[in-house]
Amino acid sequence: MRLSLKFRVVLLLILLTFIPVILYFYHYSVMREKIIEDRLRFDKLYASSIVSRIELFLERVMSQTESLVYLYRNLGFSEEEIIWRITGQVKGVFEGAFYSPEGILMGWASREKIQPKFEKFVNFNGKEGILGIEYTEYKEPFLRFMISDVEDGLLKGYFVFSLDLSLFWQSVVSTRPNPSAEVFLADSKGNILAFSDMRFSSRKKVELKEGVYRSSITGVEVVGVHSSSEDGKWVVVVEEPVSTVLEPLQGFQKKAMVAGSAFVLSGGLFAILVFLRIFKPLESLKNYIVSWEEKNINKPIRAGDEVSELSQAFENLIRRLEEERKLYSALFENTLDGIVVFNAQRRVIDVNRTVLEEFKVSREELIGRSMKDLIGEELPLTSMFFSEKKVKLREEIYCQLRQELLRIEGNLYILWRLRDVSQEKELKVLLEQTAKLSLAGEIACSIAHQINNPLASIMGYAESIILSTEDEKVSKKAEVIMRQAQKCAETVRKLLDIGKPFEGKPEYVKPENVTIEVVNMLSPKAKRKGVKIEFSSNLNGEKIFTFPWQIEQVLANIIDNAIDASPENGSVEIKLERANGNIVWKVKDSGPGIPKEELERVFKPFYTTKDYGTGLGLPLARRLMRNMGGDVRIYSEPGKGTTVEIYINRREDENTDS
Amino acid sequence: MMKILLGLLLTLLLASCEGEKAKEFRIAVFISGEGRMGKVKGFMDGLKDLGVEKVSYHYFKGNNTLSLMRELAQELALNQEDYDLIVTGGSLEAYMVKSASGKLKTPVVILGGTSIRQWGLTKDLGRPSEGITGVDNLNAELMEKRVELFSRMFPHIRKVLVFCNPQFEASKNATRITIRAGRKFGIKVVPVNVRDVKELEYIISHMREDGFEAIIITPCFYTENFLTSYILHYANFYQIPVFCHSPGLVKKGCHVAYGTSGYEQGYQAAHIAYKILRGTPVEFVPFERAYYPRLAVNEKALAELGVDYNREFFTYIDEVVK
Repeated sequence: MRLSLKFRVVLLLILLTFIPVILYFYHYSVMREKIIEDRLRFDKLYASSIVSRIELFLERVMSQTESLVYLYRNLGFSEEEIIWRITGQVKGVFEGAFYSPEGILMGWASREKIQPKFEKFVNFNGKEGILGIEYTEYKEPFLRFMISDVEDGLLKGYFVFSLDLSLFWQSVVSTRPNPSAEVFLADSKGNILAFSDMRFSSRKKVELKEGVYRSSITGVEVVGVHSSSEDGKWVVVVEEPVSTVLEPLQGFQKKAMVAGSAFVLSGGLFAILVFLRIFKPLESLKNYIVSWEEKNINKPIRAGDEVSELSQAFENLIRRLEEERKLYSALFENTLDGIVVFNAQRRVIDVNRTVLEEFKVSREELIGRSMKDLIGEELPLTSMFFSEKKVKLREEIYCQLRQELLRIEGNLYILWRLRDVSQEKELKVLLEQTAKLSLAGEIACSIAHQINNPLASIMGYAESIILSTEDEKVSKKAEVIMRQAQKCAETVRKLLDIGKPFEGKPEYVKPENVTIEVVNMLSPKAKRKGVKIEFSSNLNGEKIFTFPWQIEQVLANIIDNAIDASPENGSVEIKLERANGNIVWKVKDSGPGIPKEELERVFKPFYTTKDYGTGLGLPLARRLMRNMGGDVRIYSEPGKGTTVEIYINRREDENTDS
Repeated sequence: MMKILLGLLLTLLLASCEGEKAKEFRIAVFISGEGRMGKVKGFMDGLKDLGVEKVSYHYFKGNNTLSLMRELAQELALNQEDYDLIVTGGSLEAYMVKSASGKLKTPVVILGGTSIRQWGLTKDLGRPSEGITGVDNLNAELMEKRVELFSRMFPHIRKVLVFCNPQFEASKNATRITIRAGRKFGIKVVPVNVRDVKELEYIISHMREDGFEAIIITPCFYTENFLTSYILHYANFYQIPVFCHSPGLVKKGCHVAYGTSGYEQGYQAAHIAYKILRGTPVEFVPFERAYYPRLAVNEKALAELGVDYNREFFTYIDEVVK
């Protein structure tokens, strides 16, 4: 049978409650027995000590009485006066009588009666001390004793006194085991002779037993013992109410009961609390999760109790969450857009991997930065889109920015999707420029075609003149026409070459030739400005396998810039050399140079110092070279001109002069 | 919730660890008047000596007015269950509570009463039958002895007055005993019932004219509480010797008294009350006799009285107040 955890806890609590209850009763029983046993032993000792003193106390009373008789007799008191004085002085003696030596009643005195009951004649022969026990009209026992009145050896008579045994008994048992203890004096048959107080006794009788019993005198359950004198005449009975004897135990019992009740009550309250605060929500939670899992995970839960079921459900859930977390994390990290997450205070709290890789920035640099730091302003809390926005992550970059707001668990998050559009922008400008160039090329081709025919005629006719004339001067002039026309035709051919579409195929080229072509192309511009172009090479006709058109483009850009940078009548020095396995063009102008802080910016798109510049030359040149495995570097000092180095990697197989 | 629970648990545990407090007993004290306060004082001292410290006393004082006493008895009977014990100054108060209540639910202890059985307060002094117990001061029984002692002290006086209240059987009983004892000793004892102080003064001022030369006080609530002070006042003024029933009165100016003191009776009653408070059923707590009586004389009052008395009788005196 499978027991639920709730049922087991309840069972345990009940058991825990019953254990102290059982122990409580067990200990109470044992302690009760022990206390009663001790009390019986103690009371027995007390009764024995009292019983041994009875005769002694009686002798003391009689001795005191005899002394007083002697005293008052010598003071000349009458017998009645003597008896009266003694009843006032000896505790318990309440009446007395005087008898003549012959035993005839001569006089009396009593504290209670005007005529106490005394025999008119008593035979005192052979009698001494205690005469016996008698009873008053209230059935109270009292003891009669006699004192011989002897003066100068002559018997004058006998005094007989009545001793109230209860008063006498109070003297004997002046110290009782405790105020609740009853100490009785009884005769050998159990007839009570005296109580420790002045109660009306009505000749009561006690059963002489020991242990715990219901007292016939007090009517309550008592711990009782008795002890007899040696001659068996006197019996002392001690009875103590059980409730008094067990009072300390009951005090302890009450405390234990209160403490136990407190414990049980608290345990009960705790159990209720556990049920209310733990089990009920636990069960609801378990049911909810289990049903959710059954619907969404389709994985049945088989376990022992509620906690095991819940535990398994949580395991499934966490596994599922972990999988989903990984999925979403991968989506977040690997999305094409860079994602920056801000908190409600517009501080960056997270970025994805795309941001880090795309913008070459570390997570630590971004976390905690404010929105204002990134874009110079704080965007309003609304969804927005910017096709171009300058964003400063590490460098300022043009980005497409989409802002979205997320509310999760009451918290506001701002999400930015960033896309670097600087390249697109470059391409756009390049495209525009290319379109313009293309148009210019088309025009140039058209002009070239139209010039080609007249040129052919000119050349034809010039050749005809050369061949047909004998005039040397004419012939020379025709040759000049012929050469100039050929030059024009060459220029037109070049224009037509430029206008040809770029096929994009790499081929083996000689760097010197490429350089010379570019220099030739830009010579007219240099001449116009009076700038001298000097070209030198230490290569020995080596070829490289590359895209010549791209190299031309790069060189054209760099040399064109150098011409622009050089002053009138200045010079541009071009050196072609090998360095560390690379082919390097070093283009040095004689311009004013570039300040150090601006050197890095020259490669940024759209940075230009020229009035009609596009700011794309250098960035395009660097990108083209890097695409080919090379690079473009710039060195400059203000006043000392600028040197641009163009590197291209030369592979071993290119080292053939084919 | 958890904090409250822990707090509750801690409080209960502390409460259980605290030393057990002695129970406070509630005791109703019903007395006819201030004259009974000696007994009450003795009772309170007795309980203290027995270790019963925590007691709250609620007084019902009748101002010596029967109608008020009856009202108080009614009130006490109605509220008797509010108390652990009712103590009464004498038999009259116990009788009134019993009459008002019918069957008593709270035990009654008489601090010092007389003619217990005549009042119907029990059938057997050794086994209380009505839920009432206490101290029997044997005052009525001692009247004979008082008359005897009076005759010995004032042998020349032959006619005496006793004040009694014929409404009460006990008072009549004490008076009957006194008259009978007087006959034995050749003294004419005449009972007189007075309604107020004026009547009392008139009687005392004119009693000599009728040959009455002394007053013997009988145990009766209204002489004990109310008249005694006036009797003593007028008796001293008119030089009439007064024989009282309690040695305590000697200190208040009574010339001679024989009996037990109210304080002692109250003290003795405390022992009876103790047993009941400890749970002994009343029927197992018998009435007790007052301790043996004592003869007391106020020497100064006697000297101022200017009345002849038997000087040899002084050998009988137990206590002398000077």
